[in-house]
Amino acid sequence: MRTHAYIALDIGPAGIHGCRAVIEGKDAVRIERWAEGRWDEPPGRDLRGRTAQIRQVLQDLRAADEGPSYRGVFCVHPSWSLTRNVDVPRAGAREIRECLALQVERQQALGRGGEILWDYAMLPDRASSGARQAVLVMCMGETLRPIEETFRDCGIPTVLATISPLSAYACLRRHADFPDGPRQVIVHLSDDGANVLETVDDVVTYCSWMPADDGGDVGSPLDMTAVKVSERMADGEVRNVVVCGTAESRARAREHFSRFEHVREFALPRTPPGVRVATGAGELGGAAAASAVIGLLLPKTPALGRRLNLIRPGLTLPWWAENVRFLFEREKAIPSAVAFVALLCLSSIATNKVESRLYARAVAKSPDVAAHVAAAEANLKTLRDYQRERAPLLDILLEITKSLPNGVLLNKLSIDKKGEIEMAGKCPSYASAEEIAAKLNKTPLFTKAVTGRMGGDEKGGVSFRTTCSLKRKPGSRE
Amino acid sequence: MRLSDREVLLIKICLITLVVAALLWLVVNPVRVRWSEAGRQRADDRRGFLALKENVEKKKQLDRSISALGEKLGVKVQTGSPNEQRQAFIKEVDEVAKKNNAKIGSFVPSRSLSRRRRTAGTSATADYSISLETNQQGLVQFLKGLEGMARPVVFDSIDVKANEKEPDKLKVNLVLHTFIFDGRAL
Repeated sequence: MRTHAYIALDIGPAGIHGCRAVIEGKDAVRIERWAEGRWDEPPGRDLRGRTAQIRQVLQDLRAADEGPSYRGVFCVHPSWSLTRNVDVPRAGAREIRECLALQVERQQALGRGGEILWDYAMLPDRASSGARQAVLVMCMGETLRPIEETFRDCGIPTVLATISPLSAYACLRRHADFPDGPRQVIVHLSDDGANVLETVDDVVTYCSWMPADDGGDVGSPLDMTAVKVSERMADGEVRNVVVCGTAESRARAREHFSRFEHVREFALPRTPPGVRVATGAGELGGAAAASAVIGLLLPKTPALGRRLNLIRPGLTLPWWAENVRFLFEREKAIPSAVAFVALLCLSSIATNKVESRLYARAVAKSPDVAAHVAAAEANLKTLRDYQRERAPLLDILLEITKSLPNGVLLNKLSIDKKGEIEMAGKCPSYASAEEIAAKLNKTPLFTKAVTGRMGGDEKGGVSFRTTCSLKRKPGSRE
Repeated sequence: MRLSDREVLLIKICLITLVVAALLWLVVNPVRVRWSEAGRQRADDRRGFLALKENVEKKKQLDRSISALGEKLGVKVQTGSPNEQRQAFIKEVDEVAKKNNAKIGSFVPSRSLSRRRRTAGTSATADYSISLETNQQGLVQFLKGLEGMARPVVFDSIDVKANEKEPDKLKVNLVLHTFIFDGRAL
C-alpha cells in the first residue's frame, strides 16, 4: 500500500508543535517524531520576520530522515483567525462563493486592506428555518503566507492550512468514548483560553474563541464561556455540554458549568485509535497540543462537512489526484515531462508496429484477391458478350413454322453464320408459295424474304425455294 | 587570469547545456529513427491493406453484377479449366440428345479455343459442329434442351434436311459455340 509522509505543525502564540508522520493507509497514522519550538517573544498575527523558529522546527523534524519527500499541513491558533456563521442564498457553489467574497472584501477594508485567505463550509439545512448558513473562516495572509513560504523554503509543499479548533475536534471525534449526541456544545479548554464549538451530527456548526486574561486567570473567561454556552443552548435544542481538557482545567471549569443540566467531561488522551507513536519519537508538551497536530493527519474525519482549506479554498483533492500530485512538484516536473514524452513516443512506435503487423497479416491471408477480381471481371465480360451474341434459334424455327401456309412441307432448312436462311419444300399451289415470302416479311425476325425457282411436279404440287435474312444475325455484336 | 564567479557560472551553464543536449540527442535520435521507420512501415502496410480492401469491395460488387446478369440470362458461371468446361458441355449435350431421342451422328469440338475470339478484349469461346438425326418434335426438344442449359450457348448455323425415304426423319447439322469462363473465380 502507498504511504505518504507528512509534516504537521500547530502554530500559535504559545509556540509551535509539530510532528513528522506517515499515513499508512485509510485510517492508520504512524508518528515518527515530535518537535516543538518556542518564540523569543509571543508574536501577533503578523508572522513576517518570525519564521526562524518555524524553520528550526521543520529542520528538527526533517533531520532524522532526508529520504522521502514530505507534504506540509498546518493549523494556526483561532485568535489569529475570524470565524463567522453567515447566511448564504439558495444557489450554486459558484454563486455562494461570489457572495461570500463580497463579505470578505468588506472585512478586508476593515483589516487594513491586507490579503485575506478564507474558505467556507455549508452547514446542514435546518428544517425550522428556510435560511442556509455557512461557516466562514478568514485568516490574514500575513499569518499564513510566511508559514507557507517557510515550508516551501524547506522543500515541503503545503497542502492544507486550517485553524486548530477544527483539527483538534477531528482528533477528539476519533475517540470511541467521546460523548455522543445529535447536537451539543463542546468546550475545549487550554492554557490560554477556551474554544466553544457547537456540533450537529458531528459537524461543527459554530466555532468561537474565548481568550484567557493576560495574567493567566481563567476564571473570568470561563464565566464568559459559560455565557456563550448559554446563548448556544437558548433555543432549547442543545442539551449536552462536553468539557474537554486536562484534569486541572476541568476542575476549574466545573463550578462555572454546574448550572447546566447535562454536562459531561472528557479527558484528553494523548493519541486516538489508529494513531501510533514510534519509539524514539520524543515527547510533546501536552495532549491538547498533540490533538490539534494529530487532527491534521486524519483526513477521514473532517470537522466540517468538508475539509476546510485556507491556502487552497474550495479545493480538496480526491485521493487519486493526491497520488499524482507529486508529478507536478517542481523538482519532478522535468523528469515527469520527459518520461511522459518518452512514453508517448514508445507507445506510438508500439502502436505503429502492431497496426503494421495486423495489416501485413490481413494482406498475407488474402494474396489471391487481385486474381479473383481479374477472373470476376473476365467472367462479367463473358456474360455481357453472351448477352450481345445470343440468338434464340428455337424462336426462329417456331416463327418459320408459324409463317408457313397450310399444306407446305419443308424438305430443307438452313440458317448460316451470316443469318441467311434458305428453305425448300413443296406446297399445294403457286399462290401458297408466294404467300410464304409475304408472311415471313411481316414477322419481326425476318426480312428480304423472296420465293424463287418454283415449278410444278407430276403429283400437282409446286416445289419452291425461299430465302430470307435475319434482322439480327446470330453472333452479331450490335 | 582569474575568472569572476559570474563567468564561471556562465561557463558551467553552457557546459551543462551542451552535456544535456548531447545526452538528449543520444537518447532521442534512436527513438526518432525507430519512430519514423515504424511510421513508414505502417504507411506501406496500410497502403497494401487499403488496396486489398478495395479489391474485396470490387469483388463483392462484381459478384453481385455477375449474379444479377447470370440470373437474367439463365446462365451460371462455370468453374474449372477450359478443358474441364468443354468436357462437361459435351457430356451435357449427349444427355440432352439421349433424353430427346436425337441420334448424334457426329460431334466435332474444336481442339482449342476459338482463335477469332481469343483476340485481345474478347471472351474465349469453344466451337462445336454437331450432326444428328431426329424428327421434328425431337429437334424442337433438343434445341430447347440446349437453350435451357446453364451455359452460354450461341447457335451459329443450322442446316435441316428431310430424309427422302423417311419424310419424318430430319438430318440436322448444327454449328454452335459456348463461352469459356475464367474458372479461378470462387
